[in-house]
Amino acid sequence: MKSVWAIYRANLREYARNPAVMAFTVVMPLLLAVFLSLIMGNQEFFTIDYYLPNMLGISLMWLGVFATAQPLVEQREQKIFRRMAVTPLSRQSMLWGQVLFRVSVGLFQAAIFLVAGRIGFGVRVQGSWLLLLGATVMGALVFVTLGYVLAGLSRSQEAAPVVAQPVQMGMMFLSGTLLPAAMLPAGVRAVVRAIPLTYVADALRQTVSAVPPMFPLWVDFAAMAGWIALFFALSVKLFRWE
Amino acid sequence: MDVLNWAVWVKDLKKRYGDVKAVDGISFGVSPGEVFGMLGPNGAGKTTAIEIILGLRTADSGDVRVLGMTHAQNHREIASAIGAQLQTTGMYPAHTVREMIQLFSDFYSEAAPVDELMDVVGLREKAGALVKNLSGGQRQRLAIAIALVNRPSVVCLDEPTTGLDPQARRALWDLILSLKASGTTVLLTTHYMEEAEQLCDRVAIVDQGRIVEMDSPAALINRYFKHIAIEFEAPPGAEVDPDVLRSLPGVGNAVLDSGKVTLYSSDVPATMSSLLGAASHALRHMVVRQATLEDVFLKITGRSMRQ
Repeated sequence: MKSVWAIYRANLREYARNPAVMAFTVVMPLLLAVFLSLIMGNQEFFTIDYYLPNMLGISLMWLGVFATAQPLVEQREQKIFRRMAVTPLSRQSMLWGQVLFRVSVGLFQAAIFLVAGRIGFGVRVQGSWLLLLGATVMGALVFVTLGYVLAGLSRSQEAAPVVAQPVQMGMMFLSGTLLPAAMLPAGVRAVVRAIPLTYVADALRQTVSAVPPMFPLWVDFAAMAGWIALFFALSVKLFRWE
Repeated sequence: MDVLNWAVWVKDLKKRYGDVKAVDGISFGVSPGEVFGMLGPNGAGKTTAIEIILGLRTADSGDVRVLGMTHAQNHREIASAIGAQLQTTGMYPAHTVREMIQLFSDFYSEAAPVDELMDVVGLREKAGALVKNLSGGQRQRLAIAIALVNRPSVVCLDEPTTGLDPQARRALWDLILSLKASGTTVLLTTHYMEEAEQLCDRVAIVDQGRIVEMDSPAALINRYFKHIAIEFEAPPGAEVDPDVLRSLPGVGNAVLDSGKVTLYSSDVPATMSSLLGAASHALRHMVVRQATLEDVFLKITGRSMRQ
């Protein structure tokens, strides 16, 4: 247990002392939510109620890319995991510490979004707090496990963005979070259903602001559980500590 | 001595990468409390051997025992008892020196106080400095501190003084000697002959994945060189005939290499007096020295260490 918390704290320190990663996981998505709701706000329900949970979903996705895949590849290249392999620290403890740290960053992001939404725009949580907590944790896990897959696919630090950018850009535009799915061409609309972010954002929208759902909530949760299982299996196959 | 009594024991270790035999049948034992050095040029297979001993790589064949245990059965017990400084010690760049040592301390059930470790490597005044702002030498010293957090009974140091300035190198030599005085077993690699001579009870000279010689530094030098080396600069413009030099009393061999003459003599006073009497020019930059491990390496492998 002691070593799990040691790893947890170490990752938290590295995160808190890296302003660029903080900006990507918290500040930018929040600014985007405000910005988009101001531009699109005159069109029926594309208001802050719509964009706040969407951008929380995107910030969880960026947690997977900028605070998971990227640092994992960097730390692998810096041979941090290799040095730790010569201590009694087990790989399981290392993994638990890392994942717990990232889930708590996800919860931190959600807290910041909800507080900012409440203070700035009077957004009150409409759904159940418990379901919102569940959606945040599941959403974070979807993208953290995806982060391990992306880190496994990236051979080097230089390759990491090449692997990660198309994935996250594609998800951002094709999930109906940035632009409403209804605005996408009919042929592309089917893809929306195949994208993890779609379900994460839908679950967050339903629990935060009771925006009309795309799917029943249980479908969102089932889909997130499915993605977590798939990404976990893939990362076991692809991810390398060294 | 029984296999179980050696601090580190390896037998017929082999590891190849494609066509390259990185380690090609290495066997040795390190007794408890001994400082044992693996000496050889870069690429000789020293690091691969150390990494196999640490359990970071698996050998293609051969046996490894650390404190009588195998990695297959007792990896965590071995990891708890040993300390390691790898060629690259991975660290979190945004951690301070103190935090980095504390982090590694938390991986062990018992650890030395962080302040004591910083004192030992002379990093106390850098306690609050971030790892990313440390110089190469300071980083290396931090790596050594991390290798000692669990008060290990066996310490493996891979090229510990590479990148250190002369003063820090001396300080590290003192540290290694104090580890030895406290009964710690030290296994180190180096390509500095002087370091091996100063620190090691025994050295294994490693070349192309094999141990070509193994003994105490003094015994190796005595075995290969009963002579003392007399070096001087060849006088410019003068003909130097090695055959003439070889005929001087006491001289076993004479080598003329890029303007430098080296005589290997078994009777220094006799050689010197006849050399000085015969010389028609002033002999400049004359040095009389013992043969070193460098000479031994050159003699055994036919190559200089730095090639």
